Amino acid sequence: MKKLSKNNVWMLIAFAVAVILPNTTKSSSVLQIMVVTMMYAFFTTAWNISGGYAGQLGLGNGVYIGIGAYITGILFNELHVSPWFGLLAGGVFAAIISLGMGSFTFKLQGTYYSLATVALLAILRIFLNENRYIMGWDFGGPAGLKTKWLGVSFQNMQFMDKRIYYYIALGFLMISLLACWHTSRSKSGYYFRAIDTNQEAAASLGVNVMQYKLQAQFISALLMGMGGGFYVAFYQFIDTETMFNFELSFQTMLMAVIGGRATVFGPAVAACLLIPFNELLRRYFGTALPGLPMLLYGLILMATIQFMPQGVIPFISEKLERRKAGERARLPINGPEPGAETKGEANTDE
Amino acid sequence: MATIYLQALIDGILQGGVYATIAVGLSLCFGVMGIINWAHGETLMVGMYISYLCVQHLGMDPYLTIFITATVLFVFGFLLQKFVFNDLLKREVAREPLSVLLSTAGLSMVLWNCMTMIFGSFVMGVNTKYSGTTIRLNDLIISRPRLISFCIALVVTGALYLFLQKSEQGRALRATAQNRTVARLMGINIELLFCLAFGLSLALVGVSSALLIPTFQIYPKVGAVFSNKSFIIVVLGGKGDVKGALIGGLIIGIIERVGAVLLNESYALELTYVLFIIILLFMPEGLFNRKSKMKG
Repeated sequence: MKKLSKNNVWMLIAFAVAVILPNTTKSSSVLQIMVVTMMYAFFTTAWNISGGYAGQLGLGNGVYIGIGAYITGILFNELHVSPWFGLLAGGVFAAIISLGMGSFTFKLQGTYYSLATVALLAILRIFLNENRYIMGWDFGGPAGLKTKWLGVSFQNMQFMDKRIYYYIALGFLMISLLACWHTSRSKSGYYFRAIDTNQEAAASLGVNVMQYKLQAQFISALLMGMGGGFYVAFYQFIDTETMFNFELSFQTMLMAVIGGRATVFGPAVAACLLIPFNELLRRYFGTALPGLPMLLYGLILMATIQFMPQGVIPFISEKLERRKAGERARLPINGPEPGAETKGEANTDE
Repeated sequence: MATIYLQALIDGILQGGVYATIAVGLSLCFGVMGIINWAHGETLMVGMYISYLCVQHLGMDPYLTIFITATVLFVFGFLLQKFVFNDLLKREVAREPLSVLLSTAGLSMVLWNCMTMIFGSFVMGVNTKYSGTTIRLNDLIISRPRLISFCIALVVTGALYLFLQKSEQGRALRATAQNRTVARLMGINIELLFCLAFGLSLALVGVSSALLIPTFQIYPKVGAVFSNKSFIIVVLGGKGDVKGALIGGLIIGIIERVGAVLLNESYALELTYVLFIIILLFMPEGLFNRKSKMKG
């Protein structure tokens, strides 16, 4: 009981810091980094539901961010639909596409699903590059889609003050964290993890593998599509190169894996550490050593998988847990169980 | 008019042969270990840079660099499997080796950004003595380097096929692909075999990278292009299937070239991806493996 309340205290502190943080600076570029950090934390937490809990590694899942962003942007530009509704539409659309892809590719191993999403990335990139006008609407082609500036207004999600974007992103992050938290303790969440750990065993115990894979993917794609809508509202510009590139997908996936797949806070924490670090590297070494930030990302990812397969956060918390257990009593009962190193107990205290 | 299409067809076949050699390695890995090497194209790109350095600075014949790139990449692959991926595979015996997929995704990031740091992100081309030379057959123009590359690609792919069918090691590889546990029970050293498979896979990539040098430009992100093509070809051909990969490679080459004449280049590329999705959706075991699916 005591441990639980301690966790809650930590959460409250983190939340308070997150709320206060943007008010401590006036620098626009620092605020920019904060918004981007929140946004990626949101993306990666959304990814975590299908990629972490259900273990379906969508390496090209950035495609849903792209779909959401384009739908929101085009609805706003052409039909003056408020991005608040646009991003809902984008999310739903992305989720439906993910269902379509998943219902076939999930029959096989998840690798095929990853490949399918990467192909979808390429298809959309080429298609949008070649077709600037679709149904008479201007998608911008390779030059990109710029949303119209209609002046500061809540309805159009256009603000001069970056702090407002920050709070919107924080709100989205909270939603996706809630979704993750719910997943971690709901019945379907247990099914997701059963599928991840051993699909055949789960199926033999009567878990409808296909249905739950699709369910995880649906939630994930829905959230990511909505995130895409926020992306376009924030940057007011998207193009095919950034939205349908492997890099966006890769970053989204990477932070979840480093932070700890199938943990509620791991991915978001990893994003809060990695994104500012990456931005600083980019600022100071961007011209001298152009590949450095991404190179480090790759190395960190490989090292994490090699040495801390559950991710950094579960690894550390497990270490702490063990030390505590050791201090409390050196009784053999409290010693580490034989299966402690393998997956599955990463998340029991949350 | 017909000659344009015939020309495109020939170009497509020549190109497809090289694509096939690239993809065969990936297919081998996928078949034997069940892992998709996300960094497949990136290792190809590294091979191209090695070959480029040899040609540019040592004045070597581009086709002679095959031996260098193949050896270097074989060793690289062997060590990588031995010290990195084998541990991961051991951990995930009971399930799909997803951590390897992630690890290779990290590797691809490392490789292309490493090359960006060393060489910059410029597009480089090598002017070899083969570049631009052609053979004329009536109205048809056949690029000499492409023809040579195609022939070498066929020989190498054929050699791999024979190796897998006839040699002791090849049989062991196929046995492992079919059932890892039984193969282990038959006294096969699985770990060593995995190293061999990954090494071979990258050696094939090494060969292909030298084959591409006379006709392709080099830049750090070129790997992604070939990665995607290889994924498509492997899915077309079915995993672990050498003949399937060869035919898949030819199909992709032909679609690209003939499609470029009929539509335009980007749509031809789009067509390959659409074909890929269709194959994934409706015959995910590959174009030629419908029977085995029904059997198993």
